[in-house]
Parts: sequence; structure tokens; C-alpha cells
Amino acid sequence: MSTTWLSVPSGTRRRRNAISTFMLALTVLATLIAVTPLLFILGWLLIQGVRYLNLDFFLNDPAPIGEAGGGVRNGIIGTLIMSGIALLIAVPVGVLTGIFLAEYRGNPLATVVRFATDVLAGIPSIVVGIFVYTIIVLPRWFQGAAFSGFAGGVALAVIIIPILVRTTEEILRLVPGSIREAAAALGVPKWDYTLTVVVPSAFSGIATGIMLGLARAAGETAPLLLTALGNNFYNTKLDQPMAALSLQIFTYAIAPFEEGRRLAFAAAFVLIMLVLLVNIVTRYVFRVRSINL
Amino acid sequence: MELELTYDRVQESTQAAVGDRTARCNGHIHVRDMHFYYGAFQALRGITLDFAPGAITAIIGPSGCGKSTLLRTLNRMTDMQPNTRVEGMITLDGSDLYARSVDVVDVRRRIGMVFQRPNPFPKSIYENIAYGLRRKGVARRDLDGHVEQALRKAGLWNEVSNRLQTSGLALSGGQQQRLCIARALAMNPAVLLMDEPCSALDPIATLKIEELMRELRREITIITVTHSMQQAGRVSDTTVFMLMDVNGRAGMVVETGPTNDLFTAPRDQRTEDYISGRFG
Repeated sequence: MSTTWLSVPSGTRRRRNAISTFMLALTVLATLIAVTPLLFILGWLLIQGVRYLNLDFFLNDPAPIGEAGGGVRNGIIGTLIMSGIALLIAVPVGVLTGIFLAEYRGNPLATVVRFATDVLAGIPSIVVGIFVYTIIVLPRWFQGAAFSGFAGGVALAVIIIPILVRTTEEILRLVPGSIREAAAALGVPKWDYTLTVVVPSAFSGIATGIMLGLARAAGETAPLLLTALGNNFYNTKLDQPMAALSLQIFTYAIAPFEEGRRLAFAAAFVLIMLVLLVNIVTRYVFRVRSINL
Repeated sequence: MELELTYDRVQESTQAAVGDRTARCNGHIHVRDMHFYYGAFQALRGITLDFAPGAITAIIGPSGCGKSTLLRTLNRMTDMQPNTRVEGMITLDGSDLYARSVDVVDVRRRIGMVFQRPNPFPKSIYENIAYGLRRKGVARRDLDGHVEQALRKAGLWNEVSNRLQTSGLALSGGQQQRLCIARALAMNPAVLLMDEPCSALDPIATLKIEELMRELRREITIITVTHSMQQAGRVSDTTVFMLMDVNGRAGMVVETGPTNDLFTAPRDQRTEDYISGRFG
């Protein structure tokens, strides 16, 4: 029996299979390397952080330096307030810009804005902190205050605006053009169907983008150093320096006290859980409710 | 001075017929020596056609001959693409659709459109119909009646009346297309453009749409583009045969006439070649 077109010399076949197996192994290895830091961080924080967690940790403000006990109540509140301010500013700006980029793609201004957004996304967050320090903190622009929770919120807003712009634009691009045509053919003006058909079709995706932005804002440290400054006391006034979980982790982690390091671990654990929770809840809620386009 | 005055008068009459939202149209479309360009590329050349009310006109021809483009110039969907230009004249009941004083919104409310692939909004069945009605300013208390009427006209009411709040996307392909027809009919247009409305549907769904077209013919001018000569033969009263210009690749009308005549005794050799399957 001579070879048919189906049969391949066994050496060739063996080599092909070997290369296939090798490549598969490479990709699995790469994946493992990629998730190792995540698993390591989560695991280590769980081990180190949970030990110091108790109700007092959530209900108390930091104790004076060197003393035992104390909590991060003011940091949790500060993070929530400043992330909230960031969303209030960034959601309208970011989502509307995203709509502009997606729906007016051919506009020359859109190209410029898209490029600018990419550049903004690439700017180191400490530089954003310096920027806000220069325009708000130094001139005491906000109600005569220097370092303030408001300035912190503005800095976080600048950080997450490009995220919201890009996610909104990308989600809106997934809305099929046939739906825009259908609405236009009914005699509905573009601005109208954009707001009443296109954006609602992509609502779950936009909401997911907003939540991812929130998670990002909650975790940022550098932009807050020069704007919110941090605060050892409980404060909800926007014109006063404000504490944040991320700042507390930074302060405690470099403090030369055993107690500080414990607090840092616990605070990091709380922060990560907060971010993880927001991520998981959003993905779950909006996955279920999203309409298949 | 006199010229300006005449121009104003033309504008006024245009406004009276097209701009006035309450005016009733007959649905008579005239196309006069119309040329259409995508940038520098000429896609349609010297189109002159009449689309009569109360009849179904089928536009047939090989792929790329400009059938869909012609259809889309009739309700100015071509406005949505950049760098397009229409020369010549297209009128609805005597009013120029491309006159400066005419709002494209009013054109599209008079001349509805159904597309090749069913494209319901990702909303409920009810909301698919009610959406356009609300934009048009129909009062909330009248919505239910209008929605039911439109669904009945499209022959969909009996199939969906008990699940109006479910998503339009949950329907079968044929039902989705009839939902799209109902959505267009709800706006009470004088003309309905259909761009290969059955090309994505199975034979039974196609049959239903064709029946529906014949029922609607009495009250609305229907212009349909179709790839299928059988379909043109089955549903249309008048057929327009289009071809691409051999040199310029611009679409042009070869022959138009009553469907029976065109299929049994074409006057142009090229029409005969096409319908007898010798090319295209």
C-alpha cells in the first residue's frame, strides 16, 4: 500500500504534535505567571489582614501613633466621599465624550479628542496630583481651602475620565448600525435616537464601565497625596484635608511600628475587598440584565 | 426680484405639502433625471421613474446595479452617509424632497422603510411600535390603540397580543420583520420602501410578507427591491429593471413596465437576457 493523500509520514506527524503540545504548555505557563501576583496578593492579604479585622477596625478612627488599636473609619468614609465626587464629575464628562466619539466618528474634532484621551490615560497619576495641586490647592480655589477632599475628588475624576470615555465609546460601537438606521427611517432626529435607542441599548455596558472607574478611583493613592493630603481624624467636610483608605495604607506601611504594619495589612484587605465587591456585583447585575444585541 | 418671489412661492407650496404635519399624501413619487454620487463616484445615472399610488413596484437587477441606493435616495437615507450628492429631482406628490426648506424628519415620516435584515429595537414588542408614535407626538392614552392597529395591519396581532411586553428580539425572523413593518406602518406613511425584505427569511415567512404586501397595496405605495425575479413576478404590479452602465459602473434603468408585460415580452434585449437567466 502506497501512501494516500490522507497519510503523512509518521515523523512529520510526531513533530507537529510535539510543537502543538509545546505551544499549549507555553500559553498555560504564561497564564500562570500572569495570575500568580493576583493569587499571591489576595492570599497574603487574607492571611495577614483578616487577623486584625474586627468591628472596632471599622468603627474607630486611627489611634495616636504608637498606641494599640484604632481603625480606619475615617479612611473608608473619605474614600467613599472622594470616589463619589469623582463619579459626579467624571460620569457626565466621560460618558458624553464617549457618546460623541462613537456617534460622530467622522468628525475631525473626534480624532483630536480620542488622541487627547489616550494621552490623558497614559499620564502618571502623580502628575495628575501635581496638576490638581497647582490649579486648586495652591490658589486655594475651593472655598479658600488648601488641601481638601474636594481637590482629591477632582484628581480622581481626572484619572477615571479617560476610562469612562473609552469604555463608553467601545460599548456604543457594539450597537449595530442597523438599529440607528431603523430609528432614522422612522423620522427620528439623530440626537434623539442616540439618547433614546442607542445609549439605552448599551446601558449595561456603560454602567459596568462606570463601576470599573469607581473601583479604580477607590484604589488610587498618588493623586491624593498632593490634594486630599490625608487626615488622622474623622472629617466629612469637603474643604478640609480628608483621609482615604489608600493613603492610610501608604502611611501605615512605611511607619516604623509593628502596629502600623498590621493596620496597613488590614486596610489593604478592606480596600481590595471593596473593589472586588464592586466589580463582582456590577458584573453579575448587568450581565443578567443585558439584552443580547 | 420676481425670481425671488417665485422661489418663495415654490417654497411655500413645498412646505404646505411636506412640511405640514397634518397634510395627507397620496404617495405619488416622481424621479426626474436623477444622478447620485458617492464622492466622485457616480452610482446612479439619469434615473426617471414614476411610482404610482396603490401599486407595488419591484426593482430588480444584478448585484451592485444600484437598486438599494435608488431606494435609499427616496427617503433620504443616503443623507446619513458622508459625501453623497443627489442631482435632479425627486418629488412626493409634487413637492421636492431635497428642497432646502424640507426637513428630512418629515420626509422619513411620509416615506417609511423596511430593511434587508429584521432590525427591531432591543425593546419590548409594544415599545418597538410605540417608540416612533411617541416621537411623533401621539398622546399616551391613544398609544395602545395605535399599537394594536399597526400590529393588526402587519398581521402580527394574533401572534403577539398576549406577550406585548416581551423583547422584540425574542420573535422569529419572520415575525421580527413583520414587527419592523408594523413599526413603519404605525407612522402612517404614504409610501413604504422595502429593501429585499425577505432575503433573510425562510419560504413560509416570505409568503406571509408577500401576502401582507398585497393587502397593504390598497392604502400605501410600496416600492420593493428584490433579488428574486419570482418574487417580483408574484407580488408586483410594475417592475423596474436596472443594470450597471458598462463603462462608468453607474446604475441606470433599462426598462420599466407592467410586471406581466416585462416578464413575458421584454422590449430590451438585456432585460430578456436577465430574466431568462443568461446573465446576472
